[in-house]
Amino acid sequence: MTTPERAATEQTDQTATTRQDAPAAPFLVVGDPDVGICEGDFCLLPPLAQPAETG
Amino acid sequence: MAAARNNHLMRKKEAMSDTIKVDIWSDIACPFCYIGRRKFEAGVLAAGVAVEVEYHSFELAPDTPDEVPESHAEHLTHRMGVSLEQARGMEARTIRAAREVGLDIDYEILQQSNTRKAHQLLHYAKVHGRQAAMKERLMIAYFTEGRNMARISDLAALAAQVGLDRDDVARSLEAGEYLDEVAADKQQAAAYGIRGVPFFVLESKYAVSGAQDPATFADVLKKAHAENATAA
Repeated sequence: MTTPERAATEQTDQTATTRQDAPAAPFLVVGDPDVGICEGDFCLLPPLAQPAETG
Repeated sequence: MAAARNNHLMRKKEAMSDTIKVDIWSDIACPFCYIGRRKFEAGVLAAGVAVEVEYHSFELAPDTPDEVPESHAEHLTHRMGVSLEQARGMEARTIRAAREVGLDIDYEILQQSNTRKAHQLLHYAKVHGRQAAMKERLMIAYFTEGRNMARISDLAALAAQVGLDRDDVARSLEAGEYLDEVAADKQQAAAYGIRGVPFFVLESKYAVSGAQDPATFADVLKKAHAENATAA
């Protein structure tokens, strides 16, 4: 399992978009979106300081 | 007699409303599932709420071979196009995140491997009442002991350490049992739109995505508990 840094990369932007779309389940998702999580073949680290996502 | 029966039913209802059902989708080869589990456990303690946990299968990389010859960092360079130095830096940050919750991750000995058999084993362990212990043992074995999650002999030995029958586990895995259950969990995750893990579903009403802080888990556990108490 890989662990790319959460940075202003194409992968990160795609992930941010994915999170806004998911989940489709009938429940309320709570919590900070910028936490460590594994998606697909890699994991995203929480940001070091300011959130890197700008879009 | 009727009064005694009613009291029994009330106690049963109270017990049900006091316990929060938590369904957790996660993988073994998932550092934030490991870290998130500790944070969830801390949240449960902080909330003071009884929980019933059921783990569900989620394969982050189902095409991973049973044996991966390269190191985790080398794998990272190939998959992400980063330098070896950058890969080491990412590993170091993940290791620090683990240490913050009292866990070790040793990327020097970690053996990347397919995790499907480990998921089959977790379903076997659930049937035998040992799923939580099995999950813990598998994650420690993967992240700190360099154990291969696709090797039946390794998995059976680990299962024996949590009180399961080593020979029967080996037989079950050789026979391919619980593949349908693994597939059903993945199908449910897809239906829910789950893309990342860990993913916690409380009472089929609230969800927590990722390795959130204990306070987040505690807050939502208390909320679900209070709502159950009101509804009871």
